[in-house]
Amino acid sequence: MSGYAETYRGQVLASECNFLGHMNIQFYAARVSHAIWSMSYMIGIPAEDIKGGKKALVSVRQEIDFLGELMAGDILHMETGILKTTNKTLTLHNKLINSATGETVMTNEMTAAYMDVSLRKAVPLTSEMRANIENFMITQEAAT
Amino acid sequence: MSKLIACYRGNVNAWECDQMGHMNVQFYMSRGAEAFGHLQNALGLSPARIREEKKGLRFKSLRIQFKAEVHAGSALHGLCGVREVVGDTLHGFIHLFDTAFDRLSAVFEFTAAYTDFVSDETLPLPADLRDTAETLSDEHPESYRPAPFSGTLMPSTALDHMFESSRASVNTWECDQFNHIEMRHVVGYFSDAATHIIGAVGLTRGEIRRRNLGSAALDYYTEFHAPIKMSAPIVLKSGLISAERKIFRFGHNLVDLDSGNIAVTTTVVGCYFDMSLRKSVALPDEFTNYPKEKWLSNQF
Repeated sequence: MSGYAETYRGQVLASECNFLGHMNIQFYAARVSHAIWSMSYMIGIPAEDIKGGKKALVSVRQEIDFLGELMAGDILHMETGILKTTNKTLTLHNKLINSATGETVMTNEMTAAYMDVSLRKAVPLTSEMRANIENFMITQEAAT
Repeated sequence: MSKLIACYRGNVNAWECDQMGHMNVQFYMSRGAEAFGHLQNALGLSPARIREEKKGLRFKSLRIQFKAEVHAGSALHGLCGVREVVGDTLHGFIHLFDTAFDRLSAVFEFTAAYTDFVSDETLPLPADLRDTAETLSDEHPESYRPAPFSGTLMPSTALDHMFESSRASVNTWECDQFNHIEMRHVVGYFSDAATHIIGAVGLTRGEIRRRNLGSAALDYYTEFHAPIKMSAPIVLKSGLISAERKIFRFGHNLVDLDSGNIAVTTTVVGCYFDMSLRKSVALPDEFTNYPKEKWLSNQF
């Protein structure tokens, strides 16, 4: 068990901010999307399957806590760990962090299913994926 | 100890890919611009400080070398560093990698100056910024460094045989928090110009598709002369510098019509490729048959 890995790093654009002066919630979700994608590679879904639209992790449940504002120009990164797995799913814990201050500005717990896109159905995680998943396992305590 | 700075991680969205089937140049630039924010923070210019003081680093020149295509679903990460500080100019780089293959996809080599984002004046580097930049300075011999840009650079003057390749006014959603156009959109105008360029040499998109060809930028060299602000009316003037064997070279001047000044000058080196084989091919005859007396290089 080793824990969180970086799954996203970028910056807030002015065009992502709303009339309240902070980044709109839809753009938090965009960062989570990048994080899932990165984790897909990290657990060993082959690049040709991801880029070929054959296999993917797809979100089936999310719970989000917005903990801090982000303003235009803020720099940020996401750390992702894996809380648990089932036969066909894994539950990710994503922490979006203001890279300049270290403040966690959003946490997101997400259950994602491993999907065979041609079947449009969830399929079992492979043994290779399960072995890689061990590198990112975290405890519930670490996620709170 | 490495002085490289982690500056980007993410993936290529399907809607960032163009008709060539690869990520469009403007989205390489969006990654480069985000990476630049992380570099500034490492230098002591945190986003909060930049917002408070309304001063920060701005590109003076930017070379982008496109090394390998990336496609929808590709995972990317970026590393950046400072090469040296010369006077009040910082020299640095950003490398963008295709993560799954640990392959360098694009290289940004830049010079940047400390700038007042309200007055647009270039200022001396603050002492703390200079100290940090010098501490981070390194030749980075372990990292790729492109050879000098080949051929003559486009001058920042109007030349004969340039034609209009894009016209717009800068929208609010194209601007940063200081109401200056974001770099992605500058490169976006260059990208939009590509279709008008093929029209200028006598080709159409339909004909390009019929021949199963795509075009790709290989190398950009851009000099920034003046900022472009929100609502500015702009026009892009372009011309063929040369076209030989597999390589075409184009020059762009992005003009701010409010002032009449050339705000950005860019030299582009590119090629055509077979869309199935993803390999470069000889330029279409329309390029090589374009009258050489109209080449901008005659006026350099």
